[in-house]
Amino acid sequence: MTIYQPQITWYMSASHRVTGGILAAVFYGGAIAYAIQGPLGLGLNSDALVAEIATLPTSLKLIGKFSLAFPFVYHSFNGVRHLIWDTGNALTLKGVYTTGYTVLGLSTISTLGLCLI
Amino acid sequence: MAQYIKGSVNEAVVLPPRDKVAGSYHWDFERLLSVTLIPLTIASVVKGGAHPITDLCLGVILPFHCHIGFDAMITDYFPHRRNPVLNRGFSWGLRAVTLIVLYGCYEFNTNDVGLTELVKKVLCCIIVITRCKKNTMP
Repeated sequence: MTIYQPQITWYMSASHRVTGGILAAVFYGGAIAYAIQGPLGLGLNSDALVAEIATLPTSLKLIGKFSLAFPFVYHSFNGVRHLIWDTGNALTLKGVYTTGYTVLGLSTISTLGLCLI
Repeated sequence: MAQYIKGSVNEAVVLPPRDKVAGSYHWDFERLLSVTLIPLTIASVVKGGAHPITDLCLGVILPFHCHIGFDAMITDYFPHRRNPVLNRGFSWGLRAVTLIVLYGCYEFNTNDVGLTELVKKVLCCIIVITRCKKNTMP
């Protein structure tokens, strides 16, 4: 597999799965931690989380924002691209590459926007 | 990852039984969930805060969406033909975990501020340049 030429097609497909996996793992981890905190006495709630995050240095905050924003935005836009394919459109080589670059461009712009809020 | 032949080369391949629920209906359901998530996310962003109905929908649709994604990964990397035990173990483990996540989302939406409000609070406390204008009152 390491000899396969890097191409936008399978790089974006793999990234779609990886970003989805990361986001889902974070979501599942948080939800499970909140669900089973009773007997463990963890004391998790939204106020504690917000207070914790407020104490972090700005650089860490930016890194955290970026590492959540980019996967979410990329996965969402690429998901729309998948749904467009499911309607039968853009299933040509040109369509795949055009929609691919559009998704990458939109993701970068949106991530920048989200990080700078 | 060797390929193998069941029986002999002269026997026809036995295909899995046709099942619309595991097949095309599953595909339809998966796309339906994905499509529903688009206006749901936009509504959460536009509303900019807690709303019980969007939180309820998110707390149900997001876990299902993640479950289907993880299930696809299990089917791809631990196919039943190749790793029957791991496949079944992971599949049932995933179902158990998704149930816990559904319960956790329900608890969070009920006893805490809710999913959309959580995202808004976290985003608004990591402000860098501008200030979050809406609803910064305690």
